[in-house]
Amino acid sequence: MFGLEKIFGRNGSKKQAKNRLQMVLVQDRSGLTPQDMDLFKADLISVISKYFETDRSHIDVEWQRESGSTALIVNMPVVGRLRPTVAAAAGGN
Amino acid sequence: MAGRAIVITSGKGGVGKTTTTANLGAALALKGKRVLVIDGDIGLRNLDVIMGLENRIVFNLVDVIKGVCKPQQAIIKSKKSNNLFLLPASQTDDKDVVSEKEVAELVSKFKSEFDFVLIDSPAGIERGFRNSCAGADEALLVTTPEVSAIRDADRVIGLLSAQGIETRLILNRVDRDMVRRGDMLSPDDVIEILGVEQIGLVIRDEQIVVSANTGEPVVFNATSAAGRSFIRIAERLCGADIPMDSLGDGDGWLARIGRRLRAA
Repeated sequence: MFGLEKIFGRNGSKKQAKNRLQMVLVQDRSGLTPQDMDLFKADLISVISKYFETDRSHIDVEWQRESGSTALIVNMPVVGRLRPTVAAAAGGN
Repeated sequence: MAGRAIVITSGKGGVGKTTTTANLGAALALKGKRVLVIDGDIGLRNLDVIMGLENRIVFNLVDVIKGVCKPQQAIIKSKKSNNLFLLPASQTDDKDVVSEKEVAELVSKFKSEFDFVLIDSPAGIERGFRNSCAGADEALLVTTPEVSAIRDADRVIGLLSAQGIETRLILNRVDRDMVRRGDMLSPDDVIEILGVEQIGLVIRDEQIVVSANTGEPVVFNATSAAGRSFIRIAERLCGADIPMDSLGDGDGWLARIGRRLRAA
């Protein structure tokens, strides 16, 4: 409703700041250009979807720092059941 | 005496490294610790003016390292405390006239004479930064809640952790009202993004500008919110378990309206 968000103050520019920072820090920490990152994601998707049914539009890659070490966190929703194993598929040929 | 050498650094310039160094030095001295603050910004010194000691400089850090004078000839005692000392930087030399090894040796010598040796690093991640980190056991990283400062801080955290220097964060110039209305990253946001331990939060305070004008650190001013924040950081540095300063997030809307009315 008009003005309410201004009064209760929950809709400021900090969200944008946080999103933009998280994006740029993934690049800074990984040393990958945005183009390299897209290639990396595409490769990840092709590997992961060899084994799982996934939602390709929602892959999320993060470089997270926790107590001295940096972790690469890939978040990708698995939508369907597991596929028949690749080994079994290979055995069927 | 085995003192602690702490580098105060940030990556980005203008976020409050020198003010933090001067005030933490003064706050630790008020607690009875013997403190030496070193200006690591060779060529662009400022710690002297922030501490109001610019007229007393005879020799400097470069003179000491090059053997032109003894350390005690270059070190200046603060006007406000018998426990607080400054080793100024040279204003005329380049950062590369001293080496990391020379700085590390000097800092290590000072650690036997002082409880705390605080080194005010220049902005950037080049030679001056590396020199300032050379003798440090720990680092305090100063940042403001802005994207550019946080991005640079992240880079510095990476460099410090590669050197095995334990790093804790001081979030400076936090504006309560802006955080409350969602126009400034909150302390929790910054910690989440950077993934380092926080040692303090300093509220944005006009008294900081006044104190720079007069050359008296705000910790000597009992009415300054920033001064009280620095005193709490000094307590935490000495191991006290003090809760992080509150932004008053727990206030209800009545308190908020009250504050707005009072401000109007």
